This record gives sequence, structure tokens and C-alpha cells, in this order.
Amino acid sequence: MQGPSTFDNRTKARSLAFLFAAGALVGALTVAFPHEAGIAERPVLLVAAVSLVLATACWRLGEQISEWLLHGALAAVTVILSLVVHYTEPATLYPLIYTWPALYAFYFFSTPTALAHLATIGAAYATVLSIDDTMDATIRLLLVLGTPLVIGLLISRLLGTMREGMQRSARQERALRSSERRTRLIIDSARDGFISTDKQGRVLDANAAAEALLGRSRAEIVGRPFQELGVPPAEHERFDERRRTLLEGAREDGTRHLAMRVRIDRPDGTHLNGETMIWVVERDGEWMFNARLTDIGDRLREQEERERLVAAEAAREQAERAATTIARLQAVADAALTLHHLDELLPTILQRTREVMDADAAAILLVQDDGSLSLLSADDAPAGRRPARIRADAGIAGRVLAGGEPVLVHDPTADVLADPAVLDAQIASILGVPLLSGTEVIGVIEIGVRSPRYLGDDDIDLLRLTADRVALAIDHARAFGREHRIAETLQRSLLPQSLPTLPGVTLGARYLPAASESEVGGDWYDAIALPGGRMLLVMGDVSGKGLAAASTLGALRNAIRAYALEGHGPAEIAELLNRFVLAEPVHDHMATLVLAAFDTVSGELSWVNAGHPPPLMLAADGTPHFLEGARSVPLGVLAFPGYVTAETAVVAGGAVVLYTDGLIERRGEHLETGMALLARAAADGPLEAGAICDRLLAAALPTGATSDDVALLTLCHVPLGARLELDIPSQPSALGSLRGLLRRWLTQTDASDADVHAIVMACSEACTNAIEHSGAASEDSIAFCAQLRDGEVEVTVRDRGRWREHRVPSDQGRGLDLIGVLMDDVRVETTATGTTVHLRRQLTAKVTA
Amino acid sequence: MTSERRGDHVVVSVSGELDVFNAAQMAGAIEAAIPTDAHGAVIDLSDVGFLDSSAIRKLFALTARLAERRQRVQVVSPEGSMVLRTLQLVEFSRAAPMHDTLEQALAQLDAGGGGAPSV
Repeated sequence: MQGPSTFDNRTKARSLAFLFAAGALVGALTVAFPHEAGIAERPVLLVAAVSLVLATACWRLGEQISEWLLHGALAAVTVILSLVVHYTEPATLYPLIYTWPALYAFYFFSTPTALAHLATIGAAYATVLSIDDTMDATIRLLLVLGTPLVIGLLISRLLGTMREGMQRSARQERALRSSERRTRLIIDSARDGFISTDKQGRVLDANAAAEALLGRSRAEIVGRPFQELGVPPAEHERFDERRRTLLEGAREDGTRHLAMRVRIDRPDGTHLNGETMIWVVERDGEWMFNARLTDIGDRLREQEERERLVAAEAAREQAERAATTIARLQAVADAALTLHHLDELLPTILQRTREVMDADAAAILLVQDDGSLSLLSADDAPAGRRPARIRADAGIAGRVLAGGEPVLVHDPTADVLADPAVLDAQIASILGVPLLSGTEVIGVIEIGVRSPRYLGDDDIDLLRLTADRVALAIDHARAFGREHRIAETLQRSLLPQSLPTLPGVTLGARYLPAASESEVGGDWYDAIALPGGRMLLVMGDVSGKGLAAASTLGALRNAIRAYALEGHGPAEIAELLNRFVLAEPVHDHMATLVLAAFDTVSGELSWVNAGHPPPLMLAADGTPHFLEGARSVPLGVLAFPGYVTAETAVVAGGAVVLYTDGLIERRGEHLETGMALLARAAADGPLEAGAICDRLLAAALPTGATSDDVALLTLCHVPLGARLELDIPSQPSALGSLRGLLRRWLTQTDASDADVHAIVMACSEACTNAIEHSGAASEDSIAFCAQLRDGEVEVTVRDRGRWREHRVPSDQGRGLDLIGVLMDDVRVETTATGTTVHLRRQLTAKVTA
Repeated sequence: MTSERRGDHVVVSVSGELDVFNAAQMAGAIEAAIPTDAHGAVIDLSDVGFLDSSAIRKLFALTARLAERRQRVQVVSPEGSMVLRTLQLVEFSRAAPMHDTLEQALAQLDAGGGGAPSV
């Protein structure tokens, strides 16, 4: 079945419908136009109507029409035609219309089927002829059947050939299309753009990626020269030249491709950084170009990013090196702030100079008073510091001194090697720079580096910068040294040369200047014996350092002594001092202070604390206890601070410790920690004033070094035993406490009031005598001893002077007379070394009320 | 030490312990506290806890000088005190009349009696 493969049923049905419609039209026209009388009008119209109905049916059915129905319908056409011929007389040309179904059959059906239909037509027409007319029947039949037969066979043959050709080309086209689609798919899906151009560079085709890369649609691209698609005008020449090169190369040595960078400006304002590979091909004798266009923007960006990172890295490293250098320079300058003594300063700044310059050896030479140069050098040798003196005109230093300008020597010869700064024969470069204080050259700083490094101009600049700071540090240290010595002397002079002695107490004191001796501190202590057997203890700390602090300290110290001897108590003294400090307009100083008055007789301690660490009290068994009371603000901060005293009793055998914060303050530690350490150390050992001081210092400052200065004052309240043994200072002020202690001791015995009065008075008189003839300025003390034996009190008073019984007859005599009245027995022994007086009195029984 | 004017008289009260250390100072202060226009003076030693021989000497000297200035002096030292016992030992009453209380001493002055050493 060829037919259906070429034409579908729908075409066949519609053709058939036309056939019916044409038949109907012919019938209708025949009736409508003037016609022969033999034509039966009615039957013709009827047949035309039936034909029209059938035409409609065929049209409607369309492709749903079956093969058999087609054959039936064509047979129906034949029948209808026969009816028409019959009713229009065979004489007319009507029989020719049989050609239509015959041609239809040949056109749409295979040749055998068409012949079968032709046989049907022949039979139908033969029937009509046999009914209507027999004349010329054979000719008509031959004509009617012969014409369609010949035409039909020709048609079917032609159609067969055509059909075959069409089918073949359709297959080929399908195959080609499929191949093209695949190629197109590959090219269109490629990430790279593919563009082909003719010899002049006019674009023939481009893929989708090329559209995207160029930022233009295919329609815009094809047909235009490639250069006009966004290549900057300056590049056009290059493109033309490349094409020429390629063409020449292709013709001559077979070079067919080259790669080049290309920049494309897109219509939307963006641009493409691309790389293009162009190759030349020959097609049909025509040269043409193909090009692959690749976006290398990402690659370039990555590369740029990498380059930027590398550059940033390099810049950062350079900045870090610069920062390190600056920091090291700063370290040189800082040395001047933290180290004030030349001895400490020089090695430090020398070391830091080496770090700044990254030098293998360094030396500082300072001009001395005698014109020589003192040398301090540092190198990697173990004996890194070799102080020495050299002549001022020796070596490089001499040249620097003479010229006042930097001197740089490469590969030093023997004469410069004589320079002691150069300790190493491997030194390749030596640089010396003057140290300038103002315009005066105070010394030279030298550095040396080992081979293969050589010093250059940068090093000269850097060493000059370093030298500025070194010179400043040295200036500073020298100025500081001068002030420091003055302040230190002043402060030392303000501490008591010796502590006063009073019966019943022992005192111990320590003062430790700061280990670095960087600054003279404002710590001081004092102990003042007051009338009536009292002792005023002072522990203070003036803020600030140096001369100013020392002079404030001196003023305070003297003021305290003056106020105390006027009879003021601790709180009043503190108030007066506060006023004094506030009124002092020059030195804006603050001071902390503890003033503690101790009564040797009663054991009462009354104190005031102006912002100072609390005194430490030790019970007789060593139990420590900080005296937290009477705390108030430091001196010089409030106009009316309202200082009040607190009181406590220091038991016999106990002690009180006053100190400054240097003893309890340690960097990074809480104050409480230092205080706890202090309390433990104080309690751990014999309660003797000097021993306590030593223990506290050993515990608080194990290395013996302190960053702040430390002052410490300890008072021990000596217990009274069965024998009262006292060392009485040879001063009238001691008499009061002697009497107090003696009264206290006597009340421990069974002595009556009259006994106490008599013995106290007699002893006071005896001691007065002893003091008077040992001389007021005497350092000697008077040994006093009282003991009870068999209800009798025996007293000895021994001095180292000569007992002068009859010095001043009236007054002096009265004293001795009194003693005689008061005591049962008086005996005076005078030896070469001194005088001893023995007193005895029998105690009377206590009168019980 | 405090002093107080009572009409024509002056009362000087001394406290503390008097010995060689402060006796001279004390005596000077007492003398300074008694102006020349005062007819009489009372030295009140009630609050003095101790007198040594040098203080006694100064008191003797002081009363002598005041007597030269025609100023009568009364001394107050309560019965039973240690100071009174000391003063009795040296028979100080021969230099100045001794009284148990300040009122008695002032009454004595107002009565115009005493003052002159009864040698």
C-alpha cells in the first residue's frame, strides 16, 4: 500500500468531497444554462443534490474515512456519473467526466486498484450506452476509458518516482537534521563562544555562548565584521594584522591558528576579558576563520587577587618590620624612664641598640672629665661587658668625636681594629655616630656587623635616631643622679639617728630604700619621748618622690615634733598637720600617717590613722592583730577631716609594729595577702623589737630587694618581772616613766600607799641625781634595779659618773636628805667607773580598809 | 596648767607630775599666770600626782618671790594625797599656808589672813 504512505486519508476524503461537489456543480450548471431539450432537468438536480450530500459527508468524515469506504465512495461517484450521463443524453461530452474518478483512482490508489476502478467505470458507462445509444459506442468507450488509462498510468508512474525521491530525501534530511542538531547542541551548550567569519572577518555564525560573551543577539552578530562587535578601535589594526598573518601562514608553512587576548566592550557597558583562539580553515576553496572565545575574567581576577594578596603580604611584612624597629627604638627611650642610674641604664640601652640595629657588636663610649673615653661594649662573647678607658683620639670613636659626624668603615684595617669596640675580626662594617646633648658631643655609639652584611645609609639614619634617644637617656640619668643624691641625703638626714630609749619599752626600726634606688621615696618614721613616760611613734609616707617629697617630709617631721612637745595628742597633731599640708601651696603632696602615743606606765596606746596601713599589734603570746580603728583620710585631702584617736592596751610582753606600704605591697598581689604574710611572720619568733623587724623584712622581702622603699618601726612593751631592771636614759624626760613603772611594779607587791610614795620619791630623787651629774648630753644610761627580799625593797641605781654629795649645798642636799627620810637605809659607793647608790625600805603591812 | 581670775585673786591649777624635767617650766608658767595687780594667788596642786625635790625647790623659790611682791599665796593639796605627804616632809607649810580645798584657800585670802611666812 503506497497510497497511505504518501497521502493521508484526510486528503483523500477531501479530494473525494471536491469530486462530489464538482459533479453536483456541473449538474446544477447544466440545468441553469441553456441546454439541449433532451436533458432531464429534474433527475439531474436530484442527482446533484445527492452528490452534494455525499460531498458534505466525505468532508465531514475527513481522516476518519476508511480505505473501504473510499473505494465505495469512488464507486458511488461512478454510479452518479452514469446517472448524470444517462439523464443528459450520451451525445454530449458528459462521458468525459468519467476521467475524474479514473484520475482520482490513479492518483490516490495503487495502479492495480486504479485499474479495477477503471473497469468499474467502463462497466458503468457500457451499461449507460447499452440503454441510451449504440451508435459509435466502441469509439466512445475507447475514448472514455483510453484517455484516463493513458493519463492515469503516466500519473501513477510519475507519482511513484516522485514518491520514491521524496522519501529518500526525507530520510537524508532527517539524518542530516539529527546530526546538525547534535553538533549545534554541542556548540550551543559549550561554555566558550564559537564564531566563524569569512576572510574579511565578517561573522558567518556564532553560538549561544558567543552571544552571551559578546552581549549581543545572533541577529546583531551575524553579517557584521567581528571588530565592530565591541573590540576597542585601537585593537582593530591588530586584528586585521593577525588575520593576515594567519592567512599567510596557512598558505606558506601551514600555521593555522594563533591565540590572542581580546577585550570586548558590551553594549550594556560591561566588558569581557577574553582570550581567543583563531584558526583558519579552507572550505570550497574559500578561506574562512573560526574562533573560540573564552572568558578569562575570572582567571584574571583570581590572578589579580593573588597578586594583590602577595603585595599586601609584602606591605604588611614591611610595616611589621617598621613597627618592630619603632618599638625597639621606643624601648631605648623607655629605658630612660625606668632606669635612672647610668650603671643600669647603659647595658640596657646597649642591648636594645643592638636589637634595633640587628648588630653583632655594639659599644657606647662616654667622654669623661679627663677627656678620655670610657667604654662599654656588648657582643656575643660571654664577657659581654668590658668597661675600659681608651684615648679620645683612638679608632673610629676618635674620628667621630673629632668630626661630630657619623663614620662608616667597611672591612676595617688593623688601625681601626685597634678600636676595642671591635672584638671580632669577622666584623665587616663598623658605624660610629656621635651622642649629642644639645650641641655637645657627650660620647659615641658604635655598632659592628659581621660579614657578609654591610651597613648602609639606612643604618646610619637609624643609628642616628637611636643615638638621639640614647643621649637623651644618658642626660636624663645624669640629671636624675644629681637630684637623687641630694634627695637621698636629705631623706637620710630626716630619719632619726638613734631611737629614744624609755624604761619599759624597746624600740626597733628599719629603713630600706628601693632596690633600684630609682627614686628617693617619701617614707619616714620617728619616735619622740614625751614627758610623763610617754612615747610618740610616727610612721608616714609622703606621696611623690625626689627632692620635693623629701622636703615635705622634713617639714612634716619637724611640725610633728613641735606639736608633740607642746603637749598635743595624736588626733590634734593630725588635725594641725592637715592644716599645715593644705596650707602648703608649693608642693601638692598628700601624706598618709600613723601617730601612736604609747604610755609606758599604763600600757595604753592611743593612735590616729590618716589613710595609712593599720598598725600590727602582737599579744604577749605573739597573736597578731591589726589595729583597724581610728582610720581616716590622708593628710591634705579634706579641709576638716575630723581625726579621732582610738585606744587599746598593749599588754606587757606585747608589741606594736608600724610600717609603710612597701612592706605589704607586692605587684600582682592583694594587699590582704601581704598583710597576712606580715602577721604570720611577726608572730613566728621572739617578741624582741629588733628581731621582729628582721623577721618581717625577711618574710616580706626575701631577696632583700624592694621596688618601693620600706620603713618599719616596732615597739615592745617589756614585761615587769620579780626584779625590776631598767635601763634609764640619762635624761630628765625618762623620770616620769621610771616612776610609773616603779609604781606598777610596787603594786604587784604588798607595798602600802605610803611605801609606794616613799620608794617612788626616793628612786626619782636618786635617778635625778644620777642624771644631773652624768651630764645632760650623756649617752650613758642609768642602770636601775629594784627587787623584793624578805618584805624589804632593795633598790640600786648605778651611773657612770661621780656622785657629788656636796655640789650645791642647799637644793641638792635637800634631795639626798629626802631620800634619807624616805628610806630605811641609804648607801653610796663611788668607784673610778661610776657611782652606785643602794636604797632599802622595809614594807609596812597594807592597811586594809 | 590653767589660771582663773577670782576678783582680786588668781587661781592657778596645775596637773601632772612635776619633776626635774618640767619643774622650771612649770614654775615659770605659774609665775607668769599671776599678774602683779593680783592681791593674792592660790596654787592648786590637787591634780598633781608627783612632786620631786626640784619641783619643791621651785615652789619654795616661787612663794618667796611672790612674798617679795606682797602677794599672798595659798596652796591647795587635799588630805591624803601623795603630794601633801611630800610637802609635809619638807614642811612646805612654813612657806605658804596649805588647804584641803580651793574654797578654804580663797576664804583665807578674803579674810586677809595668811600669806606672810610665819617663820
